[in-house]
Amino acid sequence: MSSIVVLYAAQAALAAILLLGAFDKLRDFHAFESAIAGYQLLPAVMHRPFAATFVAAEALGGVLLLSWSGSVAGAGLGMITLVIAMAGLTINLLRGRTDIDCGCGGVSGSATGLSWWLVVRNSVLCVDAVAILAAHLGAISGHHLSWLGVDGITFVGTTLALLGLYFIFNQLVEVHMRIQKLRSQS
Amino acid sequence: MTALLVSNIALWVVVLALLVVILALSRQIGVLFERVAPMGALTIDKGPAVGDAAPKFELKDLVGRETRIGYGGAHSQLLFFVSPTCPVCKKLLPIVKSVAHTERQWLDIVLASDGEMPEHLAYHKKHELGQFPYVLSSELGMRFQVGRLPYAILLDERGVVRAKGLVNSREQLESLFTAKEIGVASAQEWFARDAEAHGVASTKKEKVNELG
Repeated sequence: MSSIVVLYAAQAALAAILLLGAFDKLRDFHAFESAIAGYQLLPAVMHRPFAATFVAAEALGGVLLLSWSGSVAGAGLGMITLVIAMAGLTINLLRGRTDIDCGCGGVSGSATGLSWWLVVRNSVLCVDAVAILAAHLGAISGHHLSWLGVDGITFVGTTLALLGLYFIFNQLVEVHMRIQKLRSQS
Repeated sequence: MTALLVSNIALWVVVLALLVVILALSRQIGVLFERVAPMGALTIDKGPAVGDAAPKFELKDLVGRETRIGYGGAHSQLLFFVSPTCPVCKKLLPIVKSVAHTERQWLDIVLASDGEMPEHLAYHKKHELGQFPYVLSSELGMRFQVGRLPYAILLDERGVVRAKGLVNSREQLESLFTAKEIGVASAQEWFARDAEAHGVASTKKEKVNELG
């Protein structure tokens, strides 16, 4: 029972994170497009198509993760978007360009610049996606849980707790970057 | 079984409530840190000093308007150095617009930056900065020795530097105007003078007490 509940919760949390990320990017698509331009990795003509494809992949990944049959594709798409975001972050951090908009959006990330902590965050989410992929490819079965009993409560609690931890981590990274900025200015 | 269920629910409620509290506290850390940060614009001791005549420039802005900097005129001039890649600048632009409106009787604001024209045109359009001259000049930044952004320099009606500093908030921007009004170079200098004056006063008082 316990492993399948944890799998469900990890999957639901990742789905919510991807959907929130896509929603936030769509809410201010122009800002996301500008953030893509700020990364200086693609020619200008590619900014809009890339931004649209990225958001679509993120949203589709989130939706697929909500169903049992689409879990493998959803986790795969989620992992691809996370790896691409990590590559963009890492390249710009290595270039020393930390003062650009990360494009993560206000709901699910920091708008105060780039930090290695964002790479750490995405790595953890990637591990989550890989674990979901591995569990489903390992032909896990028996997804009948007693939703009105302890299983259901554990699922809801674990999912909300994972999301809470994600938001707290984002908040702390944002505060950390703001404090670093203030310190560097004084 | 019921007892297990109830205790499970209770524990989850406590865990989730604690997470909400931690989230709220982590937000407060940032707010508090910003509140206790220095209020005045931070003056960096580089470039033309306060009281010096500013270097003179005649530049064309992004839309081709002639912009004269440092020549003086009927109004004071605020040079506001920004960059499209600087998040704090973005946050300050609405404040700059509001200040431009409230101080329009005596102040003209010029936005300054350097770099690629298309990036700045997009920034100019996105943030609706048409009301300000927006000049691109590396030399301008170099002559004023602007190292960090957003940076503001206040020139008076004679083209003399009256106040300057790093600006992160409305208070810091307004501290430049206050510095000009009360005739000090920066809020830091004012506080230093104030502290010194208090120090002298208390020493005198102590001496009077000793004599008494």
